Amino acid sequence: MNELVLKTLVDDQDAQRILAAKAPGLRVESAKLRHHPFAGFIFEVPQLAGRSGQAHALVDYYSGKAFVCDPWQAEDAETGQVLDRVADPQWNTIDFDTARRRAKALLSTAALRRARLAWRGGVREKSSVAKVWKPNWMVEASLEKKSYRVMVDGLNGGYFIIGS
Amino acid sequence: MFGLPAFTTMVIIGVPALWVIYTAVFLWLSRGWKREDAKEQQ
Amino acid sequence: MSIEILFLVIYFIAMAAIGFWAMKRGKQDAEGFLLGGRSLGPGVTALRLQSSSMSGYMFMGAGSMGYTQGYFSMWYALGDLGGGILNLSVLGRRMRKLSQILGSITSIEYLEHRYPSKWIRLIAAPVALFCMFFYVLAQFIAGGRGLEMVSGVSFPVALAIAIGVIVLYTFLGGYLAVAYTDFVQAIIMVVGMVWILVATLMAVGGFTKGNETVGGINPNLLTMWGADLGYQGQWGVILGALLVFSIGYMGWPHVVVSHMAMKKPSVARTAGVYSLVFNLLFIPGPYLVGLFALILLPNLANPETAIFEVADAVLPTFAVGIVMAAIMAAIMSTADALLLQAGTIASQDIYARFINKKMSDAQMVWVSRITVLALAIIGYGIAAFDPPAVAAVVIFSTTVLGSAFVPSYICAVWWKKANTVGAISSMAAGTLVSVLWQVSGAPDATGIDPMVTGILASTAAMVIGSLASQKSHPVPEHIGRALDETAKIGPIPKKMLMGQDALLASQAEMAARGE
Repeated sequence: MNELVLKTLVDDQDAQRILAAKAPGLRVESAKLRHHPFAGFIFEVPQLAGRSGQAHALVDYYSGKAFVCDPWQAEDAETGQVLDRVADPQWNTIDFDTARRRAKALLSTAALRRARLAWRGGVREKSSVAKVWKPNWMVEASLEKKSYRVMVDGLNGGYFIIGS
Repeated sequence: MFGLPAFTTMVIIGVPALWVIYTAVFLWLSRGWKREDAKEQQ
Repeated sequence: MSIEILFLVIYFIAMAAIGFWAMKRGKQDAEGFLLGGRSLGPGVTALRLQSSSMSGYMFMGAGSMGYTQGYFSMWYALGDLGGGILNLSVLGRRMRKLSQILGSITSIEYLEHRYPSKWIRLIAAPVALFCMFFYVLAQFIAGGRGLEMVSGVSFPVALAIAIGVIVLYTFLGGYLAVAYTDFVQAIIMVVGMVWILVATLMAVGGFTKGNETVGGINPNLLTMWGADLGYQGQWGVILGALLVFSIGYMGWPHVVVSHMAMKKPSVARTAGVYSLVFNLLFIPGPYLVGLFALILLPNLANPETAIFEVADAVLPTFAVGIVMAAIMAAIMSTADALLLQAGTIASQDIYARFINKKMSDAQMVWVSRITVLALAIIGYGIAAFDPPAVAAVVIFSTTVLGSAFVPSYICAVWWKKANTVGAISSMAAGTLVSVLWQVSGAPDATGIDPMVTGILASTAAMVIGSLASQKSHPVPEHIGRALDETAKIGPIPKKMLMGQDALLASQAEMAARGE
């Protein structure tokens, strides 16, 4: 079973800056890196006029959601960091084959939408990674004497407020 | 006006005016939506 | 070959050639090709909303209603004016956010994700498919009539050609889409319509003069009550006319799907303004041209062709070619959007969901193609031998779609207690009541439009069904959380609230859970 850890592109300083830019005065108390498991696929997607292209897709094991994403950058192997893995909540957890089906369905639908009925199909899986660990920052922050928990995406810096 | 009965004139001007007012009120109420974009523009 | 046909052919060959060239030359990246979803800006969103819904009805139905009913037909236009802004302000932003959090691609799938039960799709998909077929039928008839007029061949032949071209379009549209977008179509539609309207107004001596002349023919046409004042005081009918294209519009699966493709949730705001401006320019046109056709062409055999005939009469020859090409292009691409959506419903929402869960992409393409061909053949069968009135067909299918889906789509984002039982009862009640009301002749007997009874029934069913089953079928926890995120009002700084990455919602949820 192959695994891959995605490189953390947004470090804790960046995360702090992103949040502070949104809410001046916000102070980050702590930031902890957590890793969330995805199934990763690379597909060859035929397009029109004999062209084809490559597409990367990730499927969240825990929620079953699939999305198309940028090519992955893997973390160097020798960093030897210990991952703080997010535990399986067992709500909508899916297995690898389901994930593969969802990723493929996502790409076929998207391709058909764009190419219309002249599309000949033939989305082909080029490679897959059973577990792609995506980094997210769990940030404890405070603002005006209230504390908040915020998740900051370790790849693109998107954030989501979990609660206060 | 326009060679139309008064009621017709009132309706064909009044109802679009209501939609324009609706739109103006909607724009006012949704003026904060733009802030939602900050991140997604990246 | 007439000049109009020549324009039509040149137009499409040019568009296809540009598209093919762009495809061959374009960069080799799958991303731009695939990520068509959730990337639309306000202009495209607004105009797509209009162009995917208006052509056939506007160019035939609206003109015919203006011609036969005078200003009474304006009630439909007046409701329609606000359809886009209402849709975008009520559903736009929230539907964009919720569909992203729930990970939905099609608008029917979205309903099933929000109201988890296979029955949702089992009911929604056939109802949507059935109504959309009628809408496609209206495009076929409009395309056939338009071609009949410009080419002079008989209607069945023109119809066959028009349907053939439309089907061809659904196959090759991927190439066209590069150059010929919904955006371009909407612009062409509005320019063409304004052109016809201005030429018509000039021909009848101005708006006031035109109204006076129409009043000389039949003064009732200038009232809001119909040619024989039959609708005077019939507020049940008038309310239905106002509601059908304003509120009913929010129930169209092929229209609301464009909310899901907006680049950012806030796009809804600007798009709403654009759609109002577009509507104010475009919508009154066909009704007025139909009305003034009474002066220019008092003896039309088929009022539905009023706009085509007026265009032919008032525009210079070269302009007739351009405007007719624009109209035909609009009709074709609306039909294409509808057929493609119908193909998606058949392949994704019916075949892959209930028949073959492991559908391959080749099967998906074939199911879509067969659906499109079947609709085309059945459509030809109906339209060639006994073409129904376009206005009646479109109003009927909008009434059913609106009654069936409006409460489900609105409550999906606005009412946390709306649950599966409520949604199923609402869709069933809305469909049954609106259809039965119409076919039983109740509108004439009671003076109440099926749009009114249909939407009342489905709203009542949603409220009663949801409230009665809160204990037995509570709204699942993860949907409740998604709705909180969609609405987002809480003890969090306002600046932070805006701009969250909805994709992270479930990851954040689970990470927090484990601590």
